[in-house]
Amino acid sequence: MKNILMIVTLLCISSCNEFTEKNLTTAPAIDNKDQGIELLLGQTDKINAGEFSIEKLIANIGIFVVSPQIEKLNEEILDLKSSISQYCSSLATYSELTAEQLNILRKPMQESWKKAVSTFHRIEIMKFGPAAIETSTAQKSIYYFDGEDKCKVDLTLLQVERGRLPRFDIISNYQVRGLDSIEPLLFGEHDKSRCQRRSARIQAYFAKPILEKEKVSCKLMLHNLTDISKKSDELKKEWSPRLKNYSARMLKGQVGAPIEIVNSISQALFVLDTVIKDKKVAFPAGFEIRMDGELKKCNQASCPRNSEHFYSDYALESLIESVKGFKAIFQGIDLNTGIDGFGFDDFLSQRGFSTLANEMVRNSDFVLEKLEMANKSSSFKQLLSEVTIEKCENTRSDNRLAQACAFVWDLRKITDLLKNDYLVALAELSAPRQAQGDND
Amino acid sequence: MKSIAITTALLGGLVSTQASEYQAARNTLKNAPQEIKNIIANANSTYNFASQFNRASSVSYTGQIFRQVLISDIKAVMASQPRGSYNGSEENAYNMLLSHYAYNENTDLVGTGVIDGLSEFKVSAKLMNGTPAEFSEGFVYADIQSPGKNLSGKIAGVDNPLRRGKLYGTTRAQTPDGLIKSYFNEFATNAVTGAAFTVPNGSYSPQTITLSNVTDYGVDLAQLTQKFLHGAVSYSQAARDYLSTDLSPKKGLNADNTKPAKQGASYTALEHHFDEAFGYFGAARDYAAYTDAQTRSKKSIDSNNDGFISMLSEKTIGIAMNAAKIDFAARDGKVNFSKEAIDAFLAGRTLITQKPAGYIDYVVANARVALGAWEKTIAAVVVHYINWTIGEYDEYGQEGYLYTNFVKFWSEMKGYAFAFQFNPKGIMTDSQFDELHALMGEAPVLPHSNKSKVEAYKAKLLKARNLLQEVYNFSDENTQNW
Repeated sequence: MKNILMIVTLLCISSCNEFTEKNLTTAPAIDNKDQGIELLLGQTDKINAGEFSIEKLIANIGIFVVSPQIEKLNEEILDLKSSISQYCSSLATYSELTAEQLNILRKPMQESWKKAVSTFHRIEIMKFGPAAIETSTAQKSIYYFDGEDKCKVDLTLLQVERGRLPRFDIISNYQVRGLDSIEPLLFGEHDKSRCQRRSARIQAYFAKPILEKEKVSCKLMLHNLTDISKKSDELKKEWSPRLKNYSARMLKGQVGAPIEIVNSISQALFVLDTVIKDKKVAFPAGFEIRMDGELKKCNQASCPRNSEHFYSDYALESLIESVKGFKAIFQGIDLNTGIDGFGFDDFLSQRGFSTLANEMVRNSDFVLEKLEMANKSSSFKQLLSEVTIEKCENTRSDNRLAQACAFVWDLRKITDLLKNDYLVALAELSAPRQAQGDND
Repeated sequence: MKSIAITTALLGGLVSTQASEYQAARNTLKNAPQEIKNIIANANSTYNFASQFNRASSVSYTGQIFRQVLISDIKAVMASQPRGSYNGSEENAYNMLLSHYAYNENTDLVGTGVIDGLSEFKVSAKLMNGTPAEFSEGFVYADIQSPGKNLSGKIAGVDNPLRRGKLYGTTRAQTPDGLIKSYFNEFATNAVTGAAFTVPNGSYSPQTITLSNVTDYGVDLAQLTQKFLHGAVSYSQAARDYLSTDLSPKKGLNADNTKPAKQGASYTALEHHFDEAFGYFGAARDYAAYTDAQTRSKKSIDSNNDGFISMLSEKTIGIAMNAAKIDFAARDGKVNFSKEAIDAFLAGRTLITQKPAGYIDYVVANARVALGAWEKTIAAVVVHYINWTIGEYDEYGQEGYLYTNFVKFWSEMKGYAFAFQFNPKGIMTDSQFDELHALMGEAPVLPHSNKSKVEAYKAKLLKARNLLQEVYNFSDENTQNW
């Protein structure tokens, strides 16, 4: 009975209110429920045509927003694996390796890594469905950010040197698996441990010849890439229209009622608040944040070492990609083609909240602009090093004394609306538990 | 009444017989020749002794400190695992604990939380100003020692014979090794399949218990494990092995004191045995320079001023910490177990180094005094936890009552109380031991049980406390207030 009521409600949602028309394609619009979801799946060119419906939002986000990025990530991970394999094979031709040679040899791998990581950060915010299942196709297995140093990777190198590769089958080992564990090995100083704490064993390891260490690193990187590509394959399989086709499963109601699915996609938007803003920007910039139920604050004016991509200095680029990922879900943008399909902005407009929708889009564009501008002349690590307590306390979006702190206020322009006006406008949706009770 | 009088009389007799070993040692030292007395009076103030054979230090007890770290860490791991939330199977959870107990730096055990040489240990240090300090040795197990040591090979009954051939004080297992593994098994089940449960507190809200180490029948598996290991490994190794005189000519204090213990060693076998016992005591080398308040605060003096704390020389761990706590809490001001122990260790070791005529007897006497102070410390700790367990019974039905505290206190009491059987020449007799454990039982009467049962059990605990007071001649003031 509940389901029937819900369907009636949904029909009302998509037909009783003022319609929003995308007019993105010239194909005839699917504006009649009789044509059914199967037809929607069969005629993807009509998904973003005609009036808005939550089924079309689901279809657009599944088929045009998420799936292509999952495919892209999969390809880029394979490229990275290939690049690292080539490098590792080439080591056999050297009898010794200088720091200069190492820097040159690392370049192609670094570029491949950046591509894959950029795509990951776009997907990071698309955390629903298979991407949210942590046991099989876990995003955490492909990439994990905890704000900790990468000392565990160094400890693992010592294990690998003794012939022991980390296990991922029984032990999650998130701190030593994924693209993040590769970063210090590709970008870190060859003679300097990532461990802040003193250990004679680690010091002895890092005093060894570069070639010897790189061979060990290679074993770990290739082992991890095998795991990463396996997880990426699983994710791809879940989303691929030719395989398990999660988009179709969503539309066929196999994974929940449409409104439940829309809610789970909507909840993914809050990753911008709890992860991107809080963990990746606010915490290293010295703000007190709520993390895993506890209030946490770094013990200095700012904590660059707790920032993302400390070794590659790729944090601003990654933040830019995350905001793009947010926009892609919110606005329903296919990031490969740039086509703006049905998203939550349309949902808001359909409910008569187009002003709010436009404000959220405008604020997202504002954040992107600020990040891109900063990225032209600086890095996040550099910006964090310029933070003082006084500067940060007096910083706002329109008074950018400390740029790193200003980003927090920039992001709040989106997340404050998300946590308040947005949820009021779309009252049947809810914030995820982590974002609840956090009023910044 | 008659039987009680007889029991008391018998106990008194047994006490005097057994206590004579410790008392005899004190008399021996009291009546020592002047030369021995002079050496003792001028014994080193810190546990640092130069080698007879080279310019290095002759003091070495790394393996013992390593085991102290394992004992400490195993408790930390067991006390932080929510019920039913372990990421893996029961076998994996069991392996996590086994990897601490049967430590192997290249272990093949599999499971989340399994440790090996490159795992970070959990023991921490603080400088005297209270700021956290790093250890000069490093932060992974292999930094302390490689390949490291285990507990399983040194537990009573495996490395040395049990005083009465089997483990007493429990029916859970016949051997210390079996008891530890039974705790591990129960913990693993709780960690994997356990669920949170609630316990009442009179008219107050029920308390939700979420940790795997806390059971619904009143015991804390983490505390039982750690405190049992303090007795079954540390105290047992010191008393039954390194400071013994009744084993083979090469064992304990019978060992040679003329040549390096092995090729290239900086110490003799006798020096090394004494040092190994000292390592199990767990005192910092300059323990004597600390006030009891300083030691109990768990702060360390950076003696060599290098900005780090040395796990091997500047950190107090294990029973040496308890000795200072007990001294600090002694209301009558007449108890100084920490001083009694460290003075005996320093005097004995100085005699071993200086080798005056007939010194061995006085080394043995000092060893027995040190073990006596050690045993009295354990006894006082048991008294302390009897008091605190009774205190928690009295808190039941009030705002301050905490079930987790109740099980913790009871388990610390029981865990330490096992130790008395691991010294073949201990002050406590076998019959006293049996009586003590019969009174304590294998699990407490729960505070939310029938009131008459609770009162009856509290009376048993008070009787156990009286027994300890008599055996160790503790004052009323201390016994009631520890």
